[in-house]
Amino acid sequence: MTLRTGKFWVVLPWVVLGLIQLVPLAAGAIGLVLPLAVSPASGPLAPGFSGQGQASAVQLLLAQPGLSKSVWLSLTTGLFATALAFAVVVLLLAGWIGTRTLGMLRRCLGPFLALPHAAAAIGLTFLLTPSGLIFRALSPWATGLDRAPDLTIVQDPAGLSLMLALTAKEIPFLLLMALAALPQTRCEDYLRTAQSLGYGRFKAFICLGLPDLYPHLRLPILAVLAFAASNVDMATILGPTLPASLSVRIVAWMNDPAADLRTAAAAGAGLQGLICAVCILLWLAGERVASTAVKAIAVDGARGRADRVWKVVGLSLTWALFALLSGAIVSIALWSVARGWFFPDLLPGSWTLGSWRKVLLQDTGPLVTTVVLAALSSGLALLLVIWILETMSRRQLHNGLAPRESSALRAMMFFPLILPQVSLLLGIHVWFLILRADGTFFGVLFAHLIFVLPYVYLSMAGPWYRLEPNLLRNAQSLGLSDSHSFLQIKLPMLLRPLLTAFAIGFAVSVAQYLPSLMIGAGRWPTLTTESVALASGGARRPAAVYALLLMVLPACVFILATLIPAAAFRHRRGMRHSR
Amino acid sequence: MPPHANTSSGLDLNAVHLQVEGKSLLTIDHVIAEQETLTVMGPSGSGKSSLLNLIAGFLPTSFTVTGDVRLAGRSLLGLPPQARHVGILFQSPLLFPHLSVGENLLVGLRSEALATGSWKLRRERLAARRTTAEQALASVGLDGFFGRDPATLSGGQQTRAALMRLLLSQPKALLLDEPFSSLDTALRGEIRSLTFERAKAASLPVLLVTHDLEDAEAAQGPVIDLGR
Repeated sequence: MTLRTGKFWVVLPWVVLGLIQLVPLAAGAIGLVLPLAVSPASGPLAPGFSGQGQASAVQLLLAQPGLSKSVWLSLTTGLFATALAFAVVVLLLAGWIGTRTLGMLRRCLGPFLALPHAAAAIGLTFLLTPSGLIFRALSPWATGLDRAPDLTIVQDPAGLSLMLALTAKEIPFLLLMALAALPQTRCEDYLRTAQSLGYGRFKAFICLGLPDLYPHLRLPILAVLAFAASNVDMATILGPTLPASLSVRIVAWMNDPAADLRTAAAAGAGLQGLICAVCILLWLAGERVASTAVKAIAVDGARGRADRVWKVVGLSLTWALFALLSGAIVSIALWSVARGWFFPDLLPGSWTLGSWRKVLLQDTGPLVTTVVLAALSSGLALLLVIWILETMSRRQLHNGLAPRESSALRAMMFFPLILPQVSLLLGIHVWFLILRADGTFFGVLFAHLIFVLPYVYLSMAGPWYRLEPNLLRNAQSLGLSDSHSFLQIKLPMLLRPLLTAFAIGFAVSVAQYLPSLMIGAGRWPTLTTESVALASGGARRPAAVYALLLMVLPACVFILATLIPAAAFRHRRGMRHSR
Repeated sequence: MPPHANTSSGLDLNAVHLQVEGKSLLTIDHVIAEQETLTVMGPSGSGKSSLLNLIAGFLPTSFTVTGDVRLAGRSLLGLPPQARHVGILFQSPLLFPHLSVGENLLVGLRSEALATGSWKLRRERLAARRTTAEQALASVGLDGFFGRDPATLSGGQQTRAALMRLLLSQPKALLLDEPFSSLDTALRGEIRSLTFERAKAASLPVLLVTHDLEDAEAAQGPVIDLGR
């Protein structure tokens, strides 16, 4: 009996994990095909779709004007933004690994990581438009303008501003992933070896160090790639409009009352999946080519100098993009309290707290929904992650093994991050329609959980497996039961990473746009959905307030996550630097 | 203190004093002549590794250094690691895992720039480089290992390949950071004498850092014990 219940508790977390990770994938895939596959005779299976079968769905999609332009935009945005961000990170690492500069940059990453994509897009609009902060700073003394010029900067037809924004926003993420992976590799040892053989930093890093680091970056890069090729919130605000990139159009078709367009959206979601697959295949092919080239260059004996120029280029590019993001944040803050702000003035002429009052005191719905969704989804994800890590570690310890991360689990966690969100959610949306659960709070919570869970796991797994296994064995030898060891040793020792993981989950949920939009059926507006809607409607002041809250809320949780362990362990020096 | 003789050749550790956070770490004043091996012994934390890092150019900026390190009359401090011509063998062989054994040697092998010249010339040079690497492998009993994956080699074989990779880069001094400590006792002596013999043949000054008394004896040179 005890054995059976024991087994039950071992199996249960996997069942729950499967529910959250695999069922949505399967459901998403089937849900995508369902509205297409229904025969004309049986009528629509899911309410709101035209039931005319697959051929007609694809025909409806192909009949949309400018489709090929939309597809091309998605492809180029995804590939170029990812390649640029990766290139800058490589340049920066090559030039500055092991220096104080890199440590300093790492400490600056926090705000840029916490900045949600929607808020970044809103801030960049404020910064880059002809009436934005940059033109104001240069006018009239440098430009001679006393009126905002008639230029297209954001929403340019080639999607350049969108690419720039994605690049700037993904560099902090990729840099963090690289810096987190470095200690797990021998990259720095290889660099030293190469340098003592006479190689300059750049050739040493790119040809001899990076090959060791790159495998740790592959999944994050593919996640960035899929995200950049299918992103909706940033593309809605910064991307071209006629036509928009495919993902934006899918969401517009979804929200159209015409059944034909909704059916086209389902086919479009399939096409979006295909686009992401093509992007990933192209990237993997590029990896092959690059790896061959790198090996050929590595063995040619040339020592490769000219380090100093590239060092400066890498660092300047990074600082320029970080400055862009900082300018975006400043612009948001200014607009949130601006009343009258005429063109060449650098600062608003008069100020008001009216928009803040409205959001914080009157229309509090989106704020409350956002906080509750974030706290619940992150809390649930954290519970589940710990449950799984503990059951796996217990089994490994009982078999005499030091706890080790399962690479299968890790890969599984990356699944929802590598698939285009819009396609996955459209498939799930169809199921919710069939089950008549669309627009429910639990539906939205579930959709958030799908995307929060991976980040909570990824931030928790590292610290969990860095716990000294002999410490746990010691606890066993001292006669502590598994549960005692878990409650009295592991949890307190992991307090800091636990709270950090919660804060990360919270931030991820706050930043979610599509899950609230597509599953919530407009009934659960959040800060993100509202800010995107307001910004694309040109309502700058309320959009700025929402955008700033999108940053401030997660920041508060991050600060709490730092203060609580600091207070709890104020008399324990050994706990100060645990990560 | 004896006056420095023969300062224009060899590795000159001229009144080197290392401090970290105001704490004095080590003082050393010695000229390592060509073909000579200086052994530095001491417990961990005695600053042996910092001394190697100082000479190779990897010392963190938190250290304060006085004195000078000169190689063949040229001061090394202030030069980037790649310009110092100081070869270092670490505790583990650190063969680049994405390259074959032979390609690892090619990374070490210095030769004229390949970028110029016709394709034919370039191909000939590449072929010549490969032959050099193959001969170097054969000279340490690794014939036919050019295409092998470094991960499939034994510890001793990896150390031999790492030694040859280093020597092909034509260093002017050799630093040994306990490179024999990871090897079996039986193998240790063999690899050790191979290393010293090759270093002598190349007329290199050698600085060996170790806490193995046997290493120190085999080096047959002066010994500085930082523990005392």
